[in-house]
Amino acid sequence: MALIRLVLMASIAALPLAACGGADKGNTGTANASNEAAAAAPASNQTLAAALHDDGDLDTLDDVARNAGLEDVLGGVGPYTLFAPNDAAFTAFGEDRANALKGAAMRPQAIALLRSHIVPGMITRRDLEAALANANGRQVTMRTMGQGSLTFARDGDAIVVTSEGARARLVGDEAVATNGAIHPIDAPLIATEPAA
Amino acid sequence: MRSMYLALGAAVAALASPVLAQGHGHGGGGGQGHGGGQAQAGGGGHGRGGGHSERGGGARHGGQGSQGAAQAERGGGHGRDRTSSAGHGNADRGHGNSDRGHGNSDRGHGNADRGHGNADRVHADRGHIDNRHAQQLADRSNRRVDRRAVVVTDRGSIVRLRYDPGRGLIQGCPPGLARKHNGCLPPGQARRLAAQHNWYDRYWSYRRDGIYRYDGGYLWRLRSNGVVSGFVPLAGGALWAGNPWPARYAYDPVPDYYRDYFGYRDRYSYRYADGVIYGLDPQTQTIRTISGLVTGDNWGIGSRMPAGYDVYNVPYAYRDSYRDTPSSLYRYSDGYVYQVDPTTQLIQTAIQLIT
Repeated sequence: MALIRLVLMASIAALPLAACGGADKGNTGTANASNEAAAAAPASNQTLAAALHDDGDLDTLDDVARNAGLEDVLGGVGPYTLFAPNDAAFTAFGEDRANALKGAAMRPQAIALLRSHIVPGMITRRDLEAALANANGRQVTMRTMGQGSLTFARDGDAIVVTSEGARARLVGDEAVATNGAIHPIDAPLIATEPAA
Repeated sequence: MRSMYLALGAAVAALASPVLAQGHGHGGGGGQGHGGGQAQAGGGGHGRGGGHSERGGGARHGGQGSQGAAQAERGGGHGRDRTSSAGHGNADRGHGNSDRGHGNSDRGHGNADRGHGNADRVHADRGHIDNRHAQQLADRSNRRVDRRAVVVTDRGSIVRLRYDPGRGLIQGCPPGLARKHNGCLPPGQARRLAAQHNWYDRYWSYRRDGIYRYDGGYLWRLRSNGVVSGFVPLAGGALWAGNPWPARYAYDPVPDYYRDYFGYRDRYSYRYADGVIYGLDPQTQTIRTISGLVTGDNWGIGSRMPAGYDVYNVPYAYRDSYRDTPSSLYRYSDGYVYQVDPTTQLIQTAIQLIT
């Protein structure tokens, strides 16, 4: 078995320090991309679960995530990146539906919804910007922790994300946690019309 | 190499020395075969994880560990979690009512809702949950895991949990619903289920091999004539804390690599199914928690990178070492970072994140 053991690595516990220290020096996204560094949002000591809980614009999603029993997932090693419909998004989605997703009877739906908004790994806003810049106007895609994908594109200065006919825009500030990142969005990314 | 306690907030000093030879790969030490084979027609046989783990001893073996997971996809037969001597089939003994639930949206949950309740309870329980969480995180941070990157060039050394879109569906009728009228339900009831249109119907739209409707913690597959032809236990429904593992629902044991990577404690036995890792009480085999989400994507050295990884997503702690360059892309998935050729999109190496 050919194993080449490498190098130094920081412990996972060093995540916040690495981030604060500017460990993220950027990526190119593709082979042709530039390596321009931009200041990443500073990482906090918080996990995704804690960051979600503390964000005053994400209360509904926090409730849905807790109802879904994903505290261990969002509080664990990860990493994951959560595209988080904000409270206004859930209001537009329908308060009856949002409240239903907080209850036991719709826990499977809550989990399915969350999985459709989570992608593997740590993706910062700058990573998205870099990937879109390198794509030269094309869309870029990330698979979700459900079985779908999220597609990102530019719309002027904004980044829009689509999935299965749903469309949202990245709004507000990202939260970079020890085990991933949270990007607030202005609509849920899951189709809600009844099946034909 | 597993003797290092990690302390929060302290970076680990770099180790540039070449590899000490022990621990060739992280082989699914716990996994000896797998469960749920009964759901897979024609499975048969016993899977063999191959590896074993000697916790505390430092030495690990398990070069064939990945085969355990791989065979778990194929075979049937018995499963045996490392922390449980019960195989899949045995796990369900004594829990014959696990699959109740069709026709009544509450029945399928059993006692799963204790302690969780409705939305108000979610708020009320927050303090408790947060405290529990802090303890869990402390437990994980104290766990002996050496989080160093190791480049793997041998595809056989990669331990993967694999997603199979065909798995999860259980043919036939659940316990308690006898086969009637060529289906699990009387035709009238099945037709009513098929006729229901709910705003969340498309939450499981990736299942395209039939008409699916949600009811009572399960997803029901219906034929065009409305006859129920199978069902899928759902996370949060039939698969929820306090419920026994559903009979005939296929799973894979979670290999040591994932247990260590995710920092799972030994108090549970862990099972993987349909993209979700569950923690189970090793004594009762009841589900206790949702412990992780994994993609199950197939990242094989020499293979093409799976679709849906267009954005750099490497964890923070590894970004200094693994940044995209004109000659290499790096992508994270399920506990590994993979090096990919930007031109051919072929996977060149895997980098395991613990050793």
